[in-house]
Amino acid sequence: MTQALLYGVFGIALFGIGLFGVLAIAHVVKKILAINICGVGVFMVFIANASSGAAPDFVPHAMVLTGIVVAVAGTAMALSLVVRINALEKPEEDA
Amino acid sequence: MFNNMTLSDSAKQEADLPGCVLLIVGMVVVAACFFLAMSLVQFQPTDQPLVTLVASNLEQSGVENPVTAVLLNFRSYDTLLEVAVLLIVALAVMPFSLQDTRLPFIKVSEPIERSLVLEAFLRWLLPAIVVTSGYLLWTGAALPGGAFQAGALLAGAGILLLLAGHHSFNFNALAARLLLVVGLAMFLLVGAGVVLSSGIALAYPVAMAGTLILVIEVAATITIAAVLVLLFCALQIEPLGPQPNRVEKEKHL
Amino acid sequence: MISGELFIDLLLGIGALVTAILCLTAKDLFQAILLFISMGLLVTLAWVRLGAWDVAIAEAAIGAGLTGALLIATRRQLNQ
Repeated sequence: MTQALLYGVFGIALFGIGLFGVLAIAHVVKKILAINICGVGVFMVFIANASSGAAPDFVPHAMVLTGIVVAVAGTAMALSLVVRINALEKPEEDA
Repeated sequence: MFNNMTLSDSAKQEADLPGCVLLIVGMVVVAACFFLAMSLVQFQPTDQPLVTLVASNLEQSGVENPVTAVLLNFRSYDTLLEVAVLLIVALAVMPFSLQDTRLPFIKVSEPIERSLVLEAFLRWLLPAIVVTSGYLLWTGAALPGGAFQAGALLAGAGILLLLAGHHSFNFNALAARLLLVVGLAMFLLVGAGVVLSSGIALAYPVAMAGTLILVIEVAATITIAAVLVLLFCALQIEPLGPQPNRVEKEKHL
Repeated sequence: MISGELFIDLLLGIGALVTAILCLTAKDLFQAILLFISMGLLVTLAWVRLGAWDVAIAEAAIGAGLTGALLIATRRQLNQ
């Protein structure tokens, strides 16, 4: 069992954990965490495959780098929506 | 997806779905992962054309770090679109701030709660972070590093500055808007400018590639840092809705 | 018999999996956020083991640092 294969399987397992979390957890912020875990799993499969050859493949590295920044941007947008939904729901509860 | 989403931080969240549904979902997910893993085990990469392509063209890219070469030269469309995505996200979270456009970008005020340890620490830490960020940006041409890492580090410095409480940013100011768009603008400008010499957008002339990439990277670093700080600010708002209500409540009281 | 290096990989991978599971099963949101940050750090080490230094630096700065700051800021807003 090689290093690349090991990390590839771990990446798929992380993706599975994240996917289950997205489907099963009701708390919205935790759903966002689960989506992020999904993303980390995908990145891990990418990087593991990139290191499977004799020389490392740098194109997936660059793609994952782009992916990490886009993921944090998406997460921040989702979180700002959560904060705003929360702000809009609160006064109704008070009334 | 299947259940009612909630924001409450209570323990009942796990009990929302019936056990049998959870079991079915779990089995489907496990089966999908199993098939993915099987296909991964059977997957035999024959040859990697991209590896030889990157290695043989590295000299023409203007930088020595292959990842930076891929990001800003070979596949620069990806990075261009990524900076555009960041700008779109920034625009999406912008409406939170109803501050005046004419106010300055950085506002200095007396903090409500002073944290002396944090302030003293930041006096040492912030310059060091800025210098490290510049180093990461510069070294990105030859060693691991580059615009994303430098921008993220700079954004960390900005967030720490915000947490100290002395400063606040007004992202509606003209200077802030310039910071938010300078990365994309510079990328597009350079990408369109090289058409004059090479005839293809974003295909840099070999002699100037290193300089052009550095110019783009500096602008992209500033934009990435500004957008990430803006995203943090967007979460810091006083709730939008209740503000008029609060005034009413005070009147009632 | 597995070699020492593969053992480290195994440890890192299992650590990332366990922190991910704990993160999603944690009752308290703050606990979940901290476990998510620690998973990010473990994954950073995995990137280093796979030779992806650029990705490791970005993950340490963004995945572990900034995302954590964003999540904690969100939690503070939710608790107000």
